Amino acid sequence: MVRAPKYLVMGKSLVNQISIKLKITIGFVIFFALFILQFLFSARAINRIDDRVNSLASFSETTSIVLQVNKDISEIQRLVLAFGQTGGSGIYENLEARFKTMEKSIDLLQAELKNEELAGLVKELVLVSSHYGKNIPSLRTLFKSKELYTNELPMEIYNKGEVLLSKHIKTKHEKEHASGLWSGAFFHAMRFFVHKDYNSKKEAILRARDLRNHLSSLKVYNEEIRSVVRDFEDTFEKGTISNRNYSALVNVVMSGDATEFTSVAGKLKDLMLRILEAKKKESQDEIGDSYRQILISLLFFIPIIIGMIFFYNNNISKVLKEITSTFNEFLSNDFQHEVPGLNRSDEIGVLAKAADNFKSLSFRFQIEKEKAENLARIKSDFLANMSHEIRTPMNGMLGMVSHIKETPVTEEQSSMLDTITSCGDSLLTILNDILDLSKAESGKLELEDRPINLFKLLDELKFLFQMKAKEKGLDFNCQFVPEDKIEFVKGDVTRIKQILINLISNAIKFTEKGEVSLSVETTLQEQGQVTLQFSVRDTGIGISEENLELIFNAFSQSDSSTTRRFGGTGLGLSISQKLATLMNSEIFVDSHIGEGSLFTLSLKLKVPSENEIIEFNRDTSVVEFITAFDAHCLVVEDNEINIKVLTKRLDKLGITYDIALNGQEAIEITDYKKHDCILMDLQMPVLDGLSASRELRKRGYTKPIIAMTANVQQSDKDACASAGMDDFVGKPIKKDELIAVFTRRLNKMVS
Amino acid sequence: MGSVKKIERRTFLKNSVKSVGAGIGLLSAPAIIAQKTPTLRVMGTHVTLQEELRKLAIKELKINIEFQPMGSAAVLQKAAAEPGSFDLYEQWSDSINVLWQAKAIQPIETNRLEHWSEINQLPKTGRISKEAKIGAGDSPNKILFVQKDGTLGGKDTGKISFMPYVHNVDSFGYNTSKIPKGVAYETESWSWLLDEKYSGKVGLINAPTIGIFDAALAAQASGLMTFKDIGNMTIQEIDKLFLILKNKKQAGHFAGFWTSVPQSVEYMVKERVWLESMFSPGVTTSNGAGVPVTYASPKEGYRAWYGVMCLSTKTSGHVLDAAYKYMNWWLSGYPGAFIARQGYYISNPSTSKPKMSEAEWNYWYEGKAASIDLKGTDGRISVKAGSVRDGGSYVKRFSNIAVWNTVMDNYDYSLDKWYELLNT
Repeated sequence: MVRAPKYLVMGKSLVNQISIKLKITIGFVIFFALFILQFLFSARAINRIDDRVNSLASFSETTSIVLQVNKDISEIQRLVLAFGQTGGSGIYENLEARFKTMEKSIDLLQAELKNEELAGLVKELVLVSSHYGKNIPSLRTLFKSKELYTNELPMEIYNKGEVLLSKHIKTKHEKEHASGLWSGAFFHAMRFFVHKDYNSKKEAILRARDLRNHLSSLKVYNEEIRSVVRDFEDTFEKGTISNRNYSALVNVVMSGDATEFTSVAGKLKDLMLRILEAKKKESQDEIGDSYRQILISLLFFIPIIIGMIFFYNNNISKVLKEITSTFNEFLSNDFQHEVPGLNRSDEIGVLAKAADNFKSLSFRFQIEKEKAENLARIKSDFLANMSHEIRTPMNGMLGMVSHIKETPVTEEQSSMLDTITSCGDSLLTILNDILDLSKAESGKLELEDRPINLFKLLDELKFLFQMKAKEKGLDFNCQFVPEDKIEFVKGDVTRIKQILINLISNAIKFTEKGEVSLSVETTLQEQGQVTLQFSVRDTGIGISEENLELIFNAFSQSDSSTTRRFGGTGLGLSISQKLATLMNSEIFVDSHIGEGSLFTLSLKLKVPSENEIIEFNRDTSVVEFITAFDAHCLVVEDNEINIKVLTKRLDKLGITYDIALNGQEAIEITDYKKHDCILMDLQMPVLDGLSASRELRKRGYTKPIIAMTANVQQSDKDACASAGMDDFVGKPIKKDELIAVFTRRLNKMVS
Repeated sequence: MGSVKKIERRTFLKNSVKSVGAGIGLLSAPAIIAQKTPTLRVMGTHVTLQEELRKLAIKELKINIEFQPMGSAAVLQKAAAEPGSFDLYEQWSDSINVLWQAKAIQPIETNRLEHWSEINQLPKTGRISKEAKIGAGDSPNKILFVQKDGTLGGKDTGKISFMPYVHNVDSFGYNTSKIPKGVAYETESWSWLLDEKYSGKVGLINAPTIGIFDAALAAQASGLMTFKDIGNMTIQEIDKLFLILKNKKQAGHFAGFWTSVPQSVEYMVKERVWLESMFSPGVTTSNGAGVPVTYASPKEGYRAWYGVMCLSTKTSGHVLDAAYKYMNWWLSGYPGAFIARQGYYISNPSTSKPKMSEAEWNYWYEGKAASIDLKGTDGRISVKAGSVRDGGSYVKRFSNIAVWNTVMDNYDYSLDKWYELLNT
């Protein structure tokens, strides 16, 4: 595990003090807060956009007012001109109304526009329009006076003058001249006033002066005539002034204001349109900004939420998973790892502490269990050793008895020797049982996997028990109906036989009358497999229901009285059951008190190949027993009793021998003496049998080496073969077995 | 100077605007003020109608004074058409012909003017000195005295059409941050006003009696046309001049036609124009606002004007007395010193000299470098120490007059042409 930095660990430890409930609550609160924050943020952005849009709308409305004002002033100027043409009161009223409308618009602008530059322009507009407005009333008065002095009065004076001239001037010629001057003056005056013929101004004045001079030359001093000429001159001057005043007002003052107004309003319009454009762009930018801000805020929240997920995963889920996996480790007796989360004080901390307690309990339990198993193993080993140690002297005893019986003894002595042999056999059986059981318990029992001739097996069993059953007055039936002509199976014939012998012996033992039967059924399965069902039925005492559970336990019989009545170690069934277990099976029992019992064993075995069967037949083919050999052997054995028993046998078979007390001695002897074979014990001091064989083979020794061992399991056989040994005989050494081995391995024989 | 209350330019402008409103208000509601203190209604332009002067005059003369400041064209038109709307009229000598012909003003008795004898030769003879050239147009002496036949002329009759007081020579102002500064009387020229280089940045005054001469001097200086008598143009000359101006305007040459001094300042300060027809206070105020404006001294000569104070034909009695009091007060010294700070001269400088600091007199009248920073009428520094007045001394400037502001014979025609120009 990677160690976190210290501050992180400290921070972590602090975090780990907070309960998960609180953490989840905080998580929800944070999530909710983020949600609210995001909402507020978005709402603000939307409000901002809304404000923008509203301000844009109101500004564009204001802009349209400016556009209207621009139109208004041109319309007003047009009306001013139209008024100058006719002086019509309708036009004047229209002008006034239009101006008022425009002023209202400007007032509106003044209220609306707060921007300094715009407000400045509007202020200018206000000033100019107020100037302009003040002049509108003058327009009417000046027009009236202009009309009076340039049109009405001159007309009146002219007519008056015409009448007076024709009345006071006598001669036609003079009258015509004066009238010509008078009408000329009037004509030029009108040309000047109406047609704006500025040269006529001088002409009019000249004509009037000439008329005055003409009248003087005619000595017409009529005051009426003189005054009408003066009136004309005076009116003309007034007309000129009023005309000038009107022109100055319209042409210069109002037109100047209008021009300025147009210019300012135009500037205002341009500026506002520019601002409007800018605002539009700003709004677009703002909307873009707001959008981006919302996006960024979302992007900002994502890592927080990922962080939260990471936190909960790391702080809760992961630790829970780790605790679960440590539980599993504890259950498979792996106590290496610490329970994670022990330093926490939240719910996980509580769970971790419970796990830790579980760990220490399990650990103690495991130690106790190992202790117990160890004890059991020691016990088994002890028993196995004991049995072995007892068996060796027993072999010696029985071997000697066998030899004694072959010497001349009395009948009484022979009977005693038989008893000794029987007792010894019983003792050996018990010892072998104990050995088997301890081997089975300590897992040292191994099974052979060789072809089994089922007919032969049954023949042997029939042969074994027929006499015994007859002796007790019982019937013993053996039934075998092979399916599909199955004759061979593959398995450990010795162990199967052992189970069946046990079951049948028990059946005979616990049956007083009636019969004991063994039936075998085969059922062919797929892939070269066959199911063998062995059933042993008796009509004996039966087993009570409560005892059924006990009979397979070691050292127990159905009840203690059974032991007293029938004897036996009580190991048989226990060993049988264990052997069955090794063969992946089980012995079943069905029994009723007083009615008898049925033991069944069902085995799933392979069918051997043709080759295997041929090989098997060769190995077990019946050989003619040879009772005398012409050979010289080397016996390698450390135990004196065994040497004695063996050498007696060899003497009888006519085999000469040398003796070596250990493997080392054997090697040394072979250096200078030749033998036909070596009989080699396995367990010896100095150099054991296997090592010695290996050394001999290494040195090029070619003669057969035959192992002598009580350990006759497959692994032992394999070990012997790999050490270069050729064959073996079991201990205690039986005569027949020895003959069979020599028959196989020695070619020098005497018939 | 110490007695003058300092007024910020802003409040000055605001007050000017207010006083317009007040004047109009009085007109529309002819409520009569108590007879004991007569109310004098003074109509004129921002040049002389200044709040500072009004307050001081009210204080010293114990009369009520109403100011009605307007644009030059407007004030002339109004005065000529409605003599009842004012008591005293303050503007320029080009108003006189119009007003006199309109019989809007009455003769002033010189013997009622206390400082008449102190008035120098310029308004009386048309020359500041014997060497000085007489400008074209209506020089003030031609229209000063009321002749026996009711016409105006140069012969002293004890009756005058106007009281000569404020006067100056005008030209155009230009922003030296935009236009390289020229040399007075040598490179500075009226032709600049029509120079292609400044197209779109030129302003003219919206007053035919003034603006037409600026334009005519510019056209002549540019070599576009000549005038037989620039002070009294023929209709053909006017047609030709306005054709030139019309084409220029259509090409966007003119940025605007201003109607009042504050407006001309606005044009300059906001850089609506780089050069324009200007009055001296406009130049001073623009400089005070931080825009470096030089008042050109054109080699072709100035357009000169003479300030006229006229009596309405309708004014009489107590108000007439008050009018004389006010006229006398104007020539009493202080007002002359006051308006000197705007660059204006007074008709009797010797009386105003004691009311000025030496530095002021030297700068404004003598054309010498300012020895200290000088303040304008608004109390703000308008002249930096070391600077010299554009165009030099009073005498030097008035010795170079090209034309006087004038109402020409063809004034009526020019009004039509002016209208055409404005609406082109």
